[in-house]
Amino acid sequence: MRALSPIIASNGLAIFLTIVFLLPITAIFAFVVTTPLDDAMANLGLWMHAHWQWSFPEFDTQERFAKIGFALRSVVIAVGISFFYFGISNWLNASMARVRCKNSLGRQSNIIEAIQPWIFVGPTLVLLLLFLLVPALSTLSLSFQEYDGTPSVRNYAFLWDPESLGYLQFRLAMRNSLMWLILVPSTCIIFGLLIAVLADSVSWGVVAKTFIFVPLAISFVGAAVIWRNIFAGGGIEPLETINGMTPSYQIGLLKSLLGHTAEYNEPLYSLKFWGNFFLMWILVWVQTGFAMVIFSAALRGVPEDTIEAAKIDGANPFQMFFRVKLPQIYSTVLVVWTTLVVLVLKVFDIPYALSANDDDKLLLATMMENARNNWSIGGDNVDNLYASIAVMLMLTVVPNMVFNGWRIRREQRELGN
Amino acid sequence: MFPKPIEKSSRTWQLGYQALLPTVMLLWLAPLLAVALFSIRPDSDFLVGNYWGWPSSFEMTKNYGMVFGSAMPRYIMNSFLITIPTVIGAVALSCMTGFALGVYKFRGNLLIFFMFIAGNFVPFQILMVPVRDLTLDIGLYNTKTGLVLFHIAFQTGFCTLFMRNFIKALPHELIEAARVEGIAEWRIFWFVVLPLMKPAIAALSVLIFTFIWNDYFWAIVLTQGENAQPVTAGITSFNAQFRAMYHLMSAGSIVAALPPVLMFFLMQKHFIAGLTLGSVK
Repeated sequence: MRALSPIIASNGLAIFLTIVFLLPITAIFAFVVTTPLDDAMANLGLWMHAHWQWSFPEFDTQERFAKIGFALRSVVIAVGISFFYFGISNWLNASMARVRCKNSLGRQSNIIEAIQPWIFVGPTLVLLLLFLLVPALSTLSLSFQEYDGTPSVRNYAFLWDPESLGYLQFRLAMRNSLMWLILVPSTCIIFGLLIAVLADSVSWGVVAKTFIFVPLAISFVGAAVIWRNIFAGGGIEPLETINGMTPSYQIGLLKSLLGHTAEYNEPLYSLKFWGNFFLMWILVWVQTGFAMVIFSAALRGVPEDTIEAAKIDGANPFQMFFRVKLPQIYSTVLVVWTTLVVLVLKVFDIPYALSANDDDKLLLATMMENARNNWSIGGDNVDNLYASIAVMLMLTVVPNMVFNGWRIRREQRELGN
Repeated sequence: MFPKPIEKSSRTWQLGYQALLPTVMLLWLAPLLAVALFSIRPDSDFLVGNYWGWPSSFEMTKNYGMVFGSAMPRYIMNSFLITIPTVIGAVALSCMTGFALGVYKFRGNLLIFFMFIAGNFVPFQILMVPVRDLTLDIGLYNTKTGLVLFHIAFQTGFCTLFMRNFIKALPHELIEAARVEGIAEWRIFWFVVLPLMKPAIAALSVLIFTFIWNDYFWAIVLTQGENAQPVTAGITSFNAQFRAMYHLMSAGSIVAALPPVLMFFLMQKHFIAGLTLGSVK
């Protein structure tokens, strides 16, 4: 009885090599063979053009139809290649196992089962390595290089050297990130819990929850643009005409409600220091719906008998919530919290869309974007500075990542796998 | 039950309690209502400072007509052409990887699983420049194909996590029974497991649809101009084009936000199921 692992390894390698060579060749072949279809599409376009007497130039029709043709056959070929991949790899797997172990069905199925998961995981793994791991490592190596490739630690030194401009900006970005990290998740969680509890007690709670949830479907940019109307400077009477132009009123609900003077002409989110909180509020607005939905599901999952027991013991509503319900959904709160923390670290759209990226409101992500676009002070170019900021950003995420990995692992153990 | 029925508590408490939720709701919906109101105003209202009062006339058709006459439909079309293939690709891939990780016990299973989790946490920023260079090198910069490909790569981490957990919760006896019958592995996947995954597929599709539709970061990193840019990036250029024309900007943002919001209202059950499944497990 020979060991199975060499057979598995060699079969796996054979399948891998076949795929690596066969798939690209097939794809190229398919593209070359189907090229005349583009011309056919273009001709079809011309025929339709002539038939319905379209008004725009013939050339446009021709080009557009050729493009559509190309898109169509790309889709067909891509789908075809995927099926081809599965067909051929599964077929190879089964038939090679049959050849290697003619007499034992058990050994055959052992081999097949050992290789099968890799056939399923393979494409995704390739994508992940190519588009996630390689770029991440490449940024890491860039952060230790000058623009011409000479090794250097100047990108990091720039962030830590009190003499440099990066020092102040980096400190501010860290301060702001910390504020975001503490305030946004906690506000979302408090609001989410509050609304979940409130809505459960009124008859129209479902409707209320639906509406509170709507912002989650809107993009951060969309939310930023919407809130700009509220936070903009505003309500000032138009000044007299200057050079034949009337400076328009400024919009801004909050300001027009508060009443104000010309000094407060800037948008609320541009205020020094306090502007940060208005930016944070936009994210809170979007994400509270998420916290609310999760908590609402978790609260419904709290065992009824614990609630009954507490009620019999005469717990008041606050005790009921803080002593009975909250401890039981504690792990859910933790999950929501980590999810929101990761989201906050990545946030970029909101300050960027409102161009609130001055020093005072920098976040690591916006600071990196600034650094990537232009970073040279007085002839002192720190070209790969963005890479070192990105690495710092990554470092802030790592503890969270490890914690989550640990948590999921523990949960898996408890579930018995 | 907490909170105890409202009827039993004191009068002031009742009033405060009942007023709290409507207040929060008003706070939440105010900006949306404001934008909706803006979008039906004539531009003359903005010149005389009538922002929050009653519109002097209703110009809904005109304002929205202007939006649809601009590059906006193009951006929306791009968004659909980017989002739909991504959803199909990411869900298809994650069904397979989720199946592999959830059903088979093999060396490296856990390692790969943790790689997917880690991939889920990676900040986009660290990938940005190399990915941009990569797209330039392979000629996919500023194309919808490039954006789709990258979105699929980035979303599979989350999707696989989601699918694996769902498959893990399916009764394993079903798969064992099929194996005893001697059914080929890919047939088990296709005919036994896949039909059971329909709810998960629906939930994940809705979720990914909104994720991708709302993406802004990759849209501005990997594309430029109205040939390939989706609507999130389009809205900023639209706003730059119609600077200070609040009625058009508002109408534009409503049009841009409509598809995911509609998706949410139509598929609310799946959307919420997806969020709960994706985060609690």
